[in-house]
Amino acid sequence: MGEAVARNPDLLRGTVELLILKALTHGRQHGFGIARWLEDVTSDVLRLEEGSLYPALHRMERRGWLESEWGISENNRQVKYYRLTRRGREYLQRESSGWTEFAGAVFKVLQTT
Amino acid sequence: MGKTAMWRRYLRFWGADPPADVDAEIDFHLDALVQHFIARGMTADQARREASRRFGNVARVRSECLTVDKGSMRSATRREALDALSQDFRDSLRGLTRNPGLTLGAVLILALGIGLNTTVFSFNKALLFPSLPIGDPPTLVKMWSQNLTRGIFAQPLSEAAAAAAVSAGQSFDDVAAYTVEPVTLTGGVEAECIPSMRATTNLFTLLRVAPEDGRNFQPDDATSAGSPVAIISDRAWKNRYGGDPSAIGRDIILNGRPHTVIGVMPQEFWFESKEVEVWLPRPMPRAEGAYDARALTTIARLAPAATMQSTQADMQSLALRLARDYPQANAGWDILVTGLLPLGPGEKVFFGLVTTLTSLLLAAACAHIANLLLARGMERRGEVAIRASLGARRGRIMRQLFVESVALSIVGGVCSLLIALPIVVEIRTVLGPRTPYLSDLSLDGAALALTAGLTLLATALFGLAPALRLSSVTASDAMKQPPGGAIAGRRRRPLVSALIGLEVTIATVALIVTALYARAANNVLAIPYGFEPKNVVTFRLDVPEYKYPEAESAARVLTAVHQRLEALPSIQTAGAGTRLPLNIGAGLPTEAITLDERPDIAQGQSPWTITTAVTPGYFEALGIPLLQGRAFDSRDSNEAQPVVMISRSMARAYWPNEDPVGRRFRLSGGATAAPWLTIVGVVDDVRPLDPTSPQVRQTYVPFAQSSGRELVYFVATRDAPLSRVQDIRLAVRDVDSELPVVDLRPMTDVMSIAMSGADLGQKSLRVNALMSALLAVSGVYSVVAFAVARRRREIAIRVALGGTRRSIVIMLLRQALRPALVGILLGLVLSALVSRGLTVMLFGVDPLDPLTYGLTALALSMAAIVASCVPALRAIRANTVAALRAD
Repeated sequence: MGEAVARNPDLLRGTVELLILKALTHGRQHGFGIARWLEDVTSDVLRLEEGSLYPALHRMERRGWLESEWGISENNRQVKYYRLTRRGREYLQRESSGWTEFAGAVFKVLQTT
Repeated sequence: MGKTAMWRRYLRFWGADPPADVDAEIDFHLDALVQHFIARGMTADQARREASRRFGNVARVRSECLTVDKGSMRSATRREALDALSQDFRDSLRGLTRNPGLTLGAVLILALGIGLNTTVFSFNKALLFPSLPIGDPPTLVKMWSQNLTRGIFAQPLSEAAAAAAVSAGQSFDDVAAYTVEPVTLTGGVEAECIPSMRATTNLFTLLRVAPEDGRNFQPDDATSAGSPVAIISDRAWKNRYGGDPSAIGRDIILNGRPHTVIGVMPQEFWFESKEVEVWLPRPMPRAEGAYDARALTTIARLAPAATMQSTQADMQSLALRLARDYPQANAGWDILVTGLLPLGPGEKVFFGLVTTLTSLLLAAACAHIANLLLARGMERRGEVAIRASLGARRGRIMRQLFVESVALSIVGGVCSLLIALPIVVEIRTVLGPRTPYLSDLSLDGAALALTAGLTLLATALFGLAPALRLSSVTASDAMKQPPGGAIAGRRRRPLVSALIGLEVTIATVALIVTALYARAANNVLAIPYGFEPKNVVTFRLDVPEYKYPEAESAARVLTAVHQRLEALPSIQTAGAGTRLPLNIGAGLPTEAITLDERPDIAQGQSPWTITTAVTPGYFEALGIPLLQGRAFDSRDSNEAQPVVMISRSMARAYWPNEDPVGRRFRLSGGATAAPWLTIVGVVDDVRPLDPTSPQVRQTYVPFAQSSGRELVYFVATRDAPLSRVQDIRLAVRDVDSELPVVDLRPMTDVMSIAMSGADLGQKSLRVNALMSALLAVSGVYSVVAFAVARRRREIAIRVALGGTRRSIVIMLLRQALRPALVGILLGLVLSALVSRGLTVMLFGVDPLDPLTYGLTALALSMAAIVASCVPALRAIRANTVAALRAD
């Protein structure tokens, strides 16, 4: 499945954005931290090039879903933290319920055959 | 890589540096991944390889991120620009409110300048380029009789002259002629007198209009012996027929005769008068028609090749031919070609004058605002220089000063509506009833846009002038000198002086012209009317021909009404005449006369007079004093010897140095020998409305010896005239209940309506002159006040060093007074040139009247001196120490 998603950039992009938003619901995080969280929660199934997170982050910041600030990392380095904005939170809520419905429908179809 | 990127991040303090940021982010991630893998037991090399594999293409990620960031940079720049603009507006508004007096003054000045100009432009446009519900008005001309020696500017043509115009082929595509006359409409609840237009059948075709419903006139409508026809207005159709389509074909009773309604005009259509409810056909003018009764208004559509000038030349030769063929009635008469609305020479000059003065006022207002902005700009020199040294861009600084002048103009433009709208309403109510062109005068959007645009341009230019100069000021320049130091002062002086000079020049011209005009108007007012309008009620009766076909029976009705009025206990006297005094509203039917035993005058001066038929009691009711002889009474009946009374001016003109009573003359407009009329009395002059007109040579004939179906009654009451209205109506109803009473109103109303145009003109000139003068004086004041503010320190030093106060005051005054005096001189010269062209209007006033010129110059000089002394004196009284510390 990981391969399939990786081969379809549009599907991937939308998915990655949702996942990033979800990752940030727990508080501010930097890109590396988001990548680690993704690795954990998807049990490495959704393996993506971690670099691709950054264009997504920048794009999302520009759309106003995220905001960023420079801070100090756990190992005392300057790092850029991202945090959800209100608009980002709303978008996540809207999209995740859509996703659940969609996934449910697909699941049902697959079950019946 | 990671190391070099670190320091670049600190560049963020001076603004965003996206490449450095992206590099730092990526570096951190790669480093952290390496640590992550090492922590999982990889060697440093393995970890680095794995990290770069997991991360993917660094270069692509970097460039993708930068692309996204650049997009947001662009929008950030846009947002910043908008922010800056709104900041400028806020700043300028704050700056303007910080000095509310100055700003309020500027807005008021602009509002007045724009408002008055918009009004005048709208007015001129409504008169000169009216939008009329007819086709191509610019190619329409009217023709008039003109006799300047008799003071007749535009009187309709005689039938013979109109016929000659019709046959003067090459100038015109088509010629139509018409008269506007009241007709009596019966068949409704009450008899009504409604305005009608009796026109040649080609009128509507010539005007390029057609009935909305039904048909147009055809040539044989005017000639056929069959049923007469009429076309009615949309209003008449709706009011009288309830908009019923079957009205066409029905009969309408006009002057007692049924007329078949053949058409209804479109709703928006009107011509000459909006009151006309019905159009009736009349035959084309005939060459053998009357050549001395001038009553036909003649309108023509110019041929494509013809111009107003060529047509005027054609008509001139036509007039000469008429004068040769019928010298008795036509010598001295010209034919005048005008546009649809003939403006008299006085009116033309007056409109031109008001327009010029108002434009000048706008120019003065712009000059004033420019001055204010220049002064403000100079005051802010220090502020601007500091901002420039802190990195504000030149463009931004200029923009702010520019925005300030734009803000001023916009506010001024909006406020101008508050000034213009009431004026427009006043014009509409005062002049609208007399000139339908002005009855729905409104502010012209184009005029407003044009004036406001011009003002914007002017103020923006002047807003930029200091901006340009200021933005080239370097920080060190500004720091070296206190704000507005001597050097800058010298540099900006020529412009300021020129602006002040301009304001003063304009004020001088406006004041002198207005003073001349006011003196002329006073002279006019000083001429007595020659009668007493107080406590007099007037109304008109028209005896319809259908009901009283014979002239004698009509006259009997009118006389009966007169007798009944005289019998009323509540009134003093009653009289009636064939027209209102002063020639208000009426045509001016002058007649040539032949004097008995004075062939010399008859040959040399072609004597003439204006005849009015009056009943006994006329002179008494109007309070016109009898000077010699006797007034008419019941003896002067139809059978008695024909008698006349004449005015003092007539007596002096034709019987100088002798007693005219007992002399004879005859009204001999026609070739037929009229009876000799014996003068029985001389009354004082009743002045014509326009006192420059020579029309004071009046003849009164007894109504009983004349004929007529129409009389204007004058009822002198003992008390408030309006309380007698009901008595009057009842008296008329007693004689004939179907006789409509028209225009029943106090004579004072008639007078005030007749005079209102001149009043309005005077008022507009006075407002204009007052504004110009205020502008000039406050301009002078502001220059000195500004100079004082700017040189406070210098003044303080001079005072401290023992400079005499006088020398300091003189130094300050010189700065403003020199341009003011130059302005006054220029204004005097200009006024002399302008007022030379105004001679027509300046009744009894010398256009170069030394008193007016001298007093105006003196008054303006005094005002300038006072205006400049106030701040100058304040400056030298100011606390010297405080002034020195201030900088």
